[in-house]
Amino acid sequence: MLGKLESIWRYPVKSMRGEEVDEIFVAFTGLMGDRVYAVSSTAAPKAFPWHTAREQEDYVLYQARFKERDGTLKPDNMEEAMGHPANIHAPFPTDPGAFAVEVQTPDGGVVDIEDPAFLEGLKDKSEGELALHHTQRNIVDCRPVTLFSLQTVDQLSEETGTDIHKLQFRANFYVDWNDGGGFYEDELVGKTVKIGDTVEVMVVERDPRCKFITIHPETAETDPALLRHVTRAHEGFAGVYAAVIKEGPVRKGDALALAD
Amino acid sequence: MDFYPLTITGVVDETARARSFRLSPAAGHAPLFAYKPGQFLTFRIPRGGGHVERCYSLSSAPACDAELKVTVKRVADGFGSNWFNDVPKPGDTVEAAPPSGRFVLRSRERQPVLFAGGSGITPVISLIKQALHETSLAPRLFYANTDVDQIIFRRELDALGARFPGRLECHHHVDAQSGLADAGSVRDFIGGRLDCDFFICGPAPFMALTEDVLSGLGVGDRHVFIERFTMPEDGESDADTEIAAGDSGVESFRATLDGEEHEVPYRAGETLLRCMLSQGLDAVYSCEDAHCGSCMVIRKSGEVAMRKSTVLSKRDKERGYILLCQAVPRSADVWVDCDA
Repeated sequence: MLGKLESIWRYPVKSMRGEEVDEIFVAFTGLMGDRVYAVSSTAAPKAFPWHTAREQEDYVLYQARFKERDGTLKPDNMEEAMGHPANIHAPFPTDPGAFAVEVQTPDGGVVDIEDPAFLEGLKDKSEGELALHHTQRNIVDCRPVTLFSLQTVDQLSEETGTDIHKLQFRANFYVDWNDGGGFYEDELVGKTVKIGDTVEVMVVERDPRCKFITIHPETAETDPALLRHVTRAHEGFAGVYAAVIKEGPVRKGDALALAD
Repeated sequence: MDFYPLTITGVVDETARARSFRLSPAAGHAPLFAYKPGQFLTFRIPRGGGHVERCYSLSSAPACDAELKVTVKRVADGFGSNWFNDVPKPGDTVEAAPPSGRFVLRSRERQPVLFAGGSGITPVISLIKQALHETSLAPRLFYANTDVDQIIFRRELDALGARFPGRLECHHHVDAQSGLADAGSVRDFIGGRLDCDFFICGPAPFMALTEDVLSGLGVGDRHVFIERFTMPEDGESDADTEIAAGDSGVESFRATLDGEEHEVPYRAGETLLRCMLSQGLDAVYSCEDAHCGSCMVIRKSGEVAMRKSTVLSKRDKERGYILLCQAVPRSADVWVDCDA
């Protein structure tokens, strides 16, 4: 056993504060309910059209919540789909409104994300025109799953002499390695890792980092020195991306092991 | 940088893709907008809830034009150029900072030889008008365009030639007829007359070609003057500076890095980052595309123009952050703190 899942996180609205879950279904496209909403901005570059905390740091203080959270943790047809003789293995929420979201803004107000007042409230935060996007799959930057170890958090804290918050790295899976040290996850690139009883992910590549990791998830204050350090000392990478090879549920505390 | 309102007093369609705008400052601001031919204006263009800055060269000359005039050619996906070509109309007001730039005539004795490509004619025609109206110089122009329809100021150049017979030589190079300009065509135009001042403005490959030819002919740098129009490579519409005049006249800037202060020589048209790297300084950077933010530094003094600033928030800008990989200096007192 390599280690265990210390915590599982999903981010209902891309770039907003995430939520910890004890159990979640992992689809080929990512964790269920992860980044199912996003806001685009005409001021953003075409290659990355999203309004994020990079442009509005306190966006990480916006807390997105599913209105019917229990129904967003695993598809209601999971058993049927995963047992299907045609090997469909793509369970999907059958309720199109399953992911209804409300957002608590930093001032404490709560607004339905589909309410025009939500985007209206962001209007002064962006130099572009904003638009809301929703999909039941995942609006991820790159690969569907990100993995980060507590050991890497500790190493970076020690190297920089600062108290780094693990959520600065916005991973889905925070892992506690048994024997691996900081950046041990880098050694898993190219390998398939089994998580729990069913899910398998292939660690595809290291995660190239940007300004986002400088934003503290609880204060929205930034520390550019962290990104400079990661760039200089770790070639700009921290954490890894993974592709989902086998779908299924995972639970907090699940063991990670090499699949082969 | 302070901005002032300019009233658009006239709009002229120069080609299907280029428009000229005559501009008039408020009476009290007129002295601020006195300019030398070849200089440019920095405009503040509204965008969403904020604004972006764009620089456009003046195509007018004080000796013969009563008003300021800029000419803007529409660039695919270029926010500023499309805004100028689509939005403002006579009577509207735009905001601009006072003229700047060092792409100006240096000698009243050395004959000017000017190379312009496409919209690079904008500051060049300003120099030509000054040379004809204020001096006895006889400017020679090599003007490259993709097609005859794209030639900006054709009638104005013809009129200048007629008004100053024997003083203006204008050679039109049209790619559609002759293929891209090459070293041979540039060399033939120069024709061995090297005791001149050479001015170059246009697309990067055209300028590189002309610079190479001049260098190969042994023309010294001090007689070659370049207005480097820096375009966003991928045409992204988020570029803060669609055209960043590179020849700002800045010779060096100061950088604090790892606790040490450095005086970094500035090379015209280069970013602060590239200048630091060329000096062996270990400046931190990664994407060089304004996306990652690795090269965010604090500007402690001076003015810079940013080609793009995608990753910077309003708060970052208010706190003085700039991106080394996108910044070019606009004043001689630029000081950046890479440790902040």
